[in-house]
Amino acid sequence: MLIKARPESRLFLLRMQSHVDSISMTPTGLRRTSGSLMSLMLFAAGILSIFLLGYFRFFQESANIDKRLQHQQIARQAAISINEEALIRLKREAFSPESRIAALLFNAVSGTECDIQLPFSSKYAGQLIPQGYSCEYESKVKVIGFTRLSPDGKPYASKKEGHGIAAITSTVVLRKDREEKSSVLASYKLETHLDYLVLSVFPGTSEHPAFDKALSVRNTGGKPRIIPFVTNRLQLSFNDLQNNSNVIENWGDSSLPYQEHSLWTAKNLDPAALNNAGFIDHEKRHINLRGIVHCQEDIKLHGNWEMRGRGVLIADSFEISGAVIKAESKDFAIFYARHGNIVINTDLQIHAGLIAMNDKRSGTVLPGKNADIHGFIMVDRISPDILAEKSLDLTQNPIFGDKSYDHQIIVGDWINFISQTRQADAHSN
Amino acid sequence: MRIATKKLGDGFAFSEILIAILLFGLISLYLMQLFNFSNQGTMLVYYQHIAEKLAEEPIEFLRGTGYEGIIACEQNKFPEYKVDIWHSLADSNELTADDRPDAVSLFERKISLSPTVAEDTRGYLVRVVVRPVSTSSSFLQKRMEEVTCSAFILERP
Repeated sequence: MLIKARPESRLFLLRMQSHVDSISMTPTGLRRTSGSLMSLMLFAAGILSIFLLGYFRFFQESANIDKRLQHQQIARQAAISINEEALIRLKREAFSPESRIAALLFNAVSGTECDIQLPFSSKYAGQLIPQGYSCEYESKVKVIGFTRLSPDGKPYASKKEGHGIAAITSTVVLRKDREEKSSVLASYKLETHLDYLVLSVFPGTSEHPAFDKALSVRNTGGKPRIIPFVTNRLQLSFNDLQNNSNVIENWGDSSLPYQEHSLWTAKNLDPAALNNAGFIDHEKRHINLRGIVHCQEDIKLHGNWEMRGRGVLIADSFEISGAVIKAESKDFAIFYARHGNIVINTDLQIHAGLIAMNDKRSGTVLPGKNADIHGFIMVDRISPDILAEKSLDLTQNPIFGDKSYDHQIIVGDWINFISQTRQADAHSN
Repeated sequence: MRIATKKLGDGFAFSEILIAILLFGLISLYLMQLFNFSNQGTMLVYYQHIAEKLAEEPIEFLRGTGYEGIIACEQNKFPEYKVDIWHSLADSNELTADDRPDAVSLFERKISLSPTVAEDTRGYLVRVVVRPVSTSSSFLQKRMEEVTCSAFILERP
């Protein structure tokens, strides 16, 4: 085909020349071709380049996974460490009646929470993270599902007694410090739940005497009697019980102390388990008590012991052959023989309240020597023969009449729920 | 004017094919490098994960033994967890009888214990550092940094 170009239409000619490569001539007329391989390749290369750029970005991001893992690991270990201190603080402060946390757990309104002060973490948390990083942390305790009913649905003996869950939430936010702003690298939240009990350790009710009396005897052949502390030190004889005691009219069979087993801190331990759990530490010669601890066998305390903490030790029977001295003035112990007697083969001081009562009404304290008790005695019977030969000295321990130490809060050793939430993000503020 | 046109049956020029092969070659080369890079990245994350677990292992063990266990560890009573020296790692933990991956032989570990006190709380700051052994591959030596894991272990009431 011949195209005639007029001089005035040079522009048209130039345009035609630019399109001429894509026009081929056939006997049937004009037809468009698929273009050159070169342009096809360029097109393919462009597509591949875009694809590879995306692929490169993907692997560039994945190359940072090791850093992210490291940040998460640092945040996790910091959260676990801080949570550990929070658990220890909770247990310590729950045992101090004057602390904020004890008040929170004692009042036990579900949903209420308070911060836990962490002096150890505030001093050393900086050593858990590498240089150039910083972290924020906090720990809170919250009361969940507190109930004042026993598992069988009956109310506990005391209105304040009950059980619930203390939930500790510890949060750590790891940051990278940069000029004037810091970015969040990882955050870790740890929530742990522990059971806790509120129990009465001086369960004096209208049906049986409180523990601030010197001697309480349930079955003297007549009516139950008590001898109060007239002075802070008494030397008792059987005649005192006959002549100087007060009669209790309504001390019934169902009013033995510590009847509610669900409030016992530890149950059915044998002497070896008592040692392993640290309640009776034979190596250090310490008796460490918190709450109500039950041993299903006899307990024999030979030699001298130091009493630490505040609580009740229940066993079938007791044999005490040495001194039991409390470490601090606020400490106290109550030894309760549920099936047998309490035998005292020492004239050294025993800083404990002694209870020997059982269903057969046969429990008693048998002093093999002149016994020196700093506490109280509560028994089923007193043998006149033994008291005729041996003296029973009782010194008042005022803490047994102090209502502020009556209720104890015991936080369980076992975590019954744990939730870990981690978050790795990178936003600046 | 006679216009030069390309007919369908003419085929491709030799130079076009050469350029196409060159382009594909370059792209393929880049792609191969990318796969290699990806493989190395995956291996690095794998080694990083193992190093982190090796760093966490003594902390978890000592957390289980408690404060008394740390005092025993400080006196080097646990041969598996030597204190203050770099030590190589066996394929299985003699103390807990746990098997470890073969790759643990590429690392060595150092445990440091610092006694610390704040108010009425005593504890230890445990720091564990894991690094590739000097006989490990140059890739691991160059690409992998030391992994450090720190934690408190406190005396419980």
